[in-house]
Amino acid sequence: MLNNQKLKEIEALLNKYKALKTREEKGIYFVEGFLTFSRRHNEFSIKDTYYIQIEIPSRYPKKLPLTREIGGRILRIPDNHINEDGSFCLGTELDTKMKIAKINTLLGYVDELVIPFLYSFSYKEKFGEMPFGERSHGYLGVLEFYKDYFKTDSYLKALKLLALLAGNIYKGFHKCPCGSNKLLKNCHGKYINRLKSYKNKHNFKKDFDNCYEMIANYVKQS
Amino acid sequence: MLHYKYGHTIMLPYKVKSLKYFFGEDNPLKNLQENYNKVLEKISDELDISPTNYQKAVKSYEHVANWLNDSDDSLLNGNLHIYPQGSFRLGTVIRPIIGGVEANYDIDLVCKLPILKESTNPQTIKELIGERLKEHGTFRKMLDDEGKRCWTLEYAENNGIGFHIDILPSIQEGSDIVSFIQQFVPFSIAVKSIAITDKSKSGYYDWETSNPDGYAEWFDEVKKPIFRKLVRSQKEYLFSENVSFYNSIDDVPDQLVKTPLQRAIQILKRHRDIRFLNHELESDKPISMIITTLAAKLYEQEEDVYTTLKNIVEKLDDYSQLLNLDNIQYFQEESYNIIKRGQDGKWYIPNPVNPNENFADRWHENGNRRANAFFYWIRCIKTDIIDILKLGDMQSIGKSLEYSFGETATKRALGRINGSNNYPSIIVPVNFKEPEEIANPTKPWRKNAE
Repeated sequence: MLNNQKLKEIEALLNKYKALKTREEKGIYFVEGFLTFSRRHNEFSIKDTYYIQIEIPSRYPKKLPLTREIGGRILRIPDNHINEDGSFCLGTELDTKMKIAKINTLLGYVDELVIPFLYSFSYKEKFGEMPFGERSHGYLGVLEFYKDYFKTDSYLKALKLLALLAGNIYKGFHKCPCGSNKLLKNCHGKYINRLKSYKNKHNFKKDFDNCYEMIANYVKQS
Repeated sequence: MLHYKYGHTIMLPYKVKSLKYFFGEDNPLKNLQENYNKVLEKISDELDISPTNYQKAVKSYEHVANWLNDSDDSLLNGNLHIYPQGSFRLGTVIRPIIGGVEANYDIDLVCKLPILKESTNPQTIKELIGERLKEHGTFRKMLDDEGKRCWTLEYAENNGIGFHIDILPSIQEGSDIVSFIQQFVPFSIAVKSIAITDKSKSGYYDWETSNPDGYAEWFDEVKKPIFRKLVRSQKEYLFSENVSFYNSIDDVPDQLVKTPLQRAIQILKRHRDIRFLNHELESDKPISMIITTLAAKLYEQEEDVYTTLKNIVEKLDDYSQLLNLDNIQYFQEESYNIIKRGQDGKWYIPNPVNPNENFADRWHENGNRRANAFFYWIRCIKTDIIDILKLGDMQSIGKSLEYSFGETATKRALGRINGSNNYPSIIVPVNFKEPEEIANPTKPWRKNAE
């Protein structure tokens, strides 16, 4: 079922991208059609069109929509950042959540996540490389996100900071694990508190456990 | 003008004013020439490809080169020598104007196969490269119909800044032709000659001789002294303007360092494009190779663009007397060797690296139509670019330049000098809406199978 809020968001999306249409199948709502965009990055502009399908999950907006290219242009291989179910992997969970936090609507999702993804695919077709870089697959990519977000110089420090989110051990007057010799509240405390609004402790713990296991395996192997 | 305390303005008598003009330390005419020179420099910057787009172009042709070299075909695999040629290589690239609208930049690439001329034929070479390009999904879509000599990839964006890459299949020129050319030019240049393929309208393929690499070397040699003088300061400037782009000053490519010769050629080329637009002589306008060759031959290491242009144009104007066959006798001396005309009325502007090739081979046709177009154009430059300094003030000069280079380019160049940058870039068509910038994009990722 579509509630009022969802309807409004779909309407706004169709208003901007006129070649998209809605479709319902077995209780799931889709927005489908040609998405034409013209965007620029570092002075290089690309105009392109893709045939896409956006699946709006019933738990939207808690769960983000899934977008697939169904024109047969983007090969469904891991190198193209396509998930097993054929949907785009627009970024790590927190990357995407933080990106659209300010404009959490379908239109924001398409403008800020889907189109940059398609832009980078068009760019890769021409120049053979991704314009914004790419994350490693799996939990290494997740850890890369934490490392970038906390602006630390090592994965280990990022993992230590993640541990603070996963456990219940955040105290502002503790020393910050990033090695700055400052108190947490004067150092990475604000980054940690900002992240708390995007995920609950349980999910951070899952991230931590998997990242930890990955590093442990890596250390064992080498 | 003198300004007094109470707001009265008193005009100086004419004599005093003129004395100041000619003997004063701040000679306004001299200042004007300096300012005008700055404007010309900025105009050439506006016509040029920007550092970011330059890098884009380099990346894309490297991508093409890698693809061609990556082939399973043992002839191609890792054996190709691919390098830029033409204005992109010479640093005289300008945004072309086609049908009155600014079109895509041209980037010419030579693609040289390591095959002996005796053991192959032009059609095989041309098709080998074409087939390989078609194997790539994206290139196949970007590929134009087969050209006379090259394959063209369209990197056109509908409303952004596009370019196309011309790929010229070629092989080493045969030793008979090289040894002939060697009689006239140094061996190191002659040996760079290549054989390129040429498809006639009837579909028949033949060989032609060319030497883009040798030409570029000749051109580099001409500008070497002034290049050495300017390289450091210009690289420092480019680095400071594009700090986010380059890691160090040494990363700034030599091709972006511009000598007055290159700037003058860019200005001449754009002036030609605008001046001949919708003109009855449009199809006879001078080709870029003639402009580049003549300008380089006449260049005497002048240090500013205005003097460079002035000297080149004045010298070329002298040759207009050749239009009258009676005057040929006065041009027999060794010093008049830039443009030659024979008693039979034919014109000669030889390619400096291949004396067999005459750039002016068709100048005598239709009652010297091309020669007339050339000297008509030289006169136009004299009035449009050189003599306008006599207008006396920057405002009138600016107005007049708009007529020669288009309003946007001129206003933007003037704006840059006055420190403001509000004018839209010349490379943006009039009805162009700037596409939205993608800010802080997320990096694509993928979940591992669970």
